Amino acid sequence: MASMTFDGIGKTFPDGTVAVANVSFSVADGEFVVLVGPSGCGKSTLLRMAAGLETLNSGRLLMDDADVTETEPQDRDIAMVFQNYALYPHMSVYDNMAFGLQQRKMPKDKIDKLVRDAAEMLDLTRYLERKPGALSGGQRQRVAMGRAIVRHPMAFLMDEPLSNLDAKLRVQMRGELKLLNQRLGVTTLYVTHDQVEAMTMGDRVAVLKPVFNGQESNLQQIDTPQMLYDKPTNLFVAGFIGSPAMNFVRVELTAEAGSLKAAVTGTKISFSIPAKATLSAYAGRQVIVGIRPEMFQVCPESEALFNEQVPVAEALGADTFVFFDIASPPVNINDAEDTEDFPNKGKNRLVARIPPALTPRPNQLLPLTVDLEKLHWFDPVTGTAIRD
Amino acid sequence: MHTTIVRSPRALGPARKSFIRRNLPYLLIAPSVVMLLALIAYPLLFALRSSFYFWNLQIGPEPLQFVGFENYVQAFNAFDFRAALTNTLILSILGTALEFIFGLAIALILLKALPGMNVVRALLILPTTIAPIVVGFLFRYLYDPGGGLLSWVLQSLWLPVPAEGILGSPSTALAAILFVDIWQWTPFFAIVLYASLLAVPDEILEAARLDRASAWTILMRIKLPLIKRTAIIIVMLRFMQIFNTFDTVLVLTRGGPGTSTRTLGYSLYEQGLVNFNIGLVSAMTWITVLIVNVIVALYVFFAFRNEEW
Repeated sequence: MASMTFDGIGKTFPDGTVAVANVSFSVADGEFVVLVGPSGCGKSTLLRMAAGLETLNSGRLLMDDADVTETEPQDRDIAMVFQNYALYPHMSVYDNMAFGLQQRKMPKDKIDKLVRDAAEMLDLTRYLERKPGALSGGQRQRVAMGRAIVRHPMAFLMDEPLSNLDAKLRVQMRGELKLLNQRLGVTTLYVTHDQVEAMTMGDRVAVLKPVFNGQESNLQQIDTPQMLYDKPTNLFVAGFIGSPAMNFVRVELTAEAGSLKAAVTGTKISFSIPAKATLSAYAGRQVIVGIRPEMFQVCPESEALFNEQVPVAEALGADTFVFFDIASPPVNINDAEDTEDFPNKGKNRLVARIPPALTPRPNQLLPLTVDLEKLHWFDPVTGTAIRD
Repeated sequence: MHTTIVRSPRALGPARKSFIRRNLPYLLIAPSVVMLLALIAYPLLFALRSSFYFWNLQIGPEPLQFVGFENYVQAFNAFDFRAALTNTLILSILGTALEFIFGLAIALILLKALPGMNVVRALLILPTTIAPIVVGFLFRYLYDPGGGLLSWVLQSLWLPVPAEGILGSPSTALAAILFVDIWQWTPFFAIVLYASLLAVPDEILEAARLDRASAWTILMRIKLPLIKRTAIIIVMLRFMQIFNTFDTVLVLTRGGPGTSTRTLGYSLYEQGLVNFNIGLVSAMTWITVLIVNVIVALYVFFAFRNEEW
């Protein structure tokens, strides 16, 4: 078991593509950290760099305060679980798990005990003599886990280990993996593009985003799942975490006596909030408001902030998601920088979560209000959160 | 109003339909079977019959006399049989083994994606595309004691070159033929093994590295087992090909000096197409066929054992 520190990590491929830049964070001993982000955000590259399978151009990688930047993968004492499991197809399940131990010149009886213990833990004892080709996806996934845990490594690296499983099995394995991690207490770095996986499994979650030059950083925020949800540091994190995603609306702020008036750009909708120090500095400018779907409440028409037709409603049983359009320019969270003179056209589709009983009929007006206290505010140029 | 009942095509002649459907696979494979029978089974059986007759085209166009196993006895007792068999086995076993090892080494280097590898890969296949006869002539000049390039290189390196030439000395002639075969056919192994190594997923090799396997262990326990099927088949093919070597021998040494480079293939050629001793050469052919098949059957048995196909 070990702690792991990424210190200013950067990776540029020979063709000039910047995959990773300026990434710094630490994983504490025994901690389960999830790297999450869309494709191309460098999460797998970071993981492969931790494994030593990918070299880095800048920065250092520490394990237990020892610099392992230049250490070969075989000398790092880490175990990796690959997306497609990478089992040795010509070896039995037993040999797949024993292979790593055999390379350590461990006595045969000790290997046997370790393999059988791991197989027991993962409910694989019946399949020990089978080849991977004769196993189901879930079983292969468990063998891949078994191969990692028999070695009692300093750290686990997992590269989307559940993405090849069907939805039901994925949910089940998610729980089992989390339990396994708690039981073994091994430092784990886990890569996924699935934010539900990230939120449910990680002690902390690192949200990454693609970079286009060496000045940016892939790492947007690393925090506990709840903090990411409640206090996203910028538009990207706010938009990435949460399902359905947070709604973004452009508003024009104007200062009034003791309060701020926010007028939704392109509409007649406006509301007032108590003046706050940081937000007041944006008076006279446009800012972006973030509204989580559950912050909407169905209300009498007289109190409604939004009162729009609902063309689409998705009933999930416990909740209903209703979608409606406002005549306000949409917010593209991926390039917050160049949205200053966004063409003032198009519709912004918002989503609200409401109790199923209040689901409107198609194209009926639905009066909604918003808990103004909980709104998220973002700088439209930098995309960073505006907080007191 | 009247109704005409038209039998659907499906209902038409159910018996004939099902006959075709049932036997379609056999019908489709029949032409190949006929060709195989005509081109392989017939000559083999014809040779089997001939092998029991005294039949020499220099004496007469027809078999002269039934002689039983006399031709077989004569073949085993011929002055060159044992030498030819030994030389053939040396060539085929050593040739296949060395070509496999060198080919594997080249394939592993090709995988390294070093600069210029594309050119090397394209050039590599060239020797294999040249006809063996042409290669034979090429090497006759290279081995020439009076100014042949290879002789000159060896001499320049102070290596002993026999006075009678590399091909003229019984001690070096067979090695010289082996070298030609290795030169021509190692690229074949390299290309085929390279292609099959490319199919080994990177993740598996990475997993092995993380399992602390050394490069040697990865080669022996991961890469080779994963390309085993391809390797087994090309080794078998190549072994059978070398076993029948005769063209390079014909051009380079004509089996000499003495019997030092005589192969079964060359002896067959000499008895059949030089001496026209059809009865004897038929017996020799059958002996060769039996030897090759016994060796290949043993090889297949051991190589394919424990293999799920």
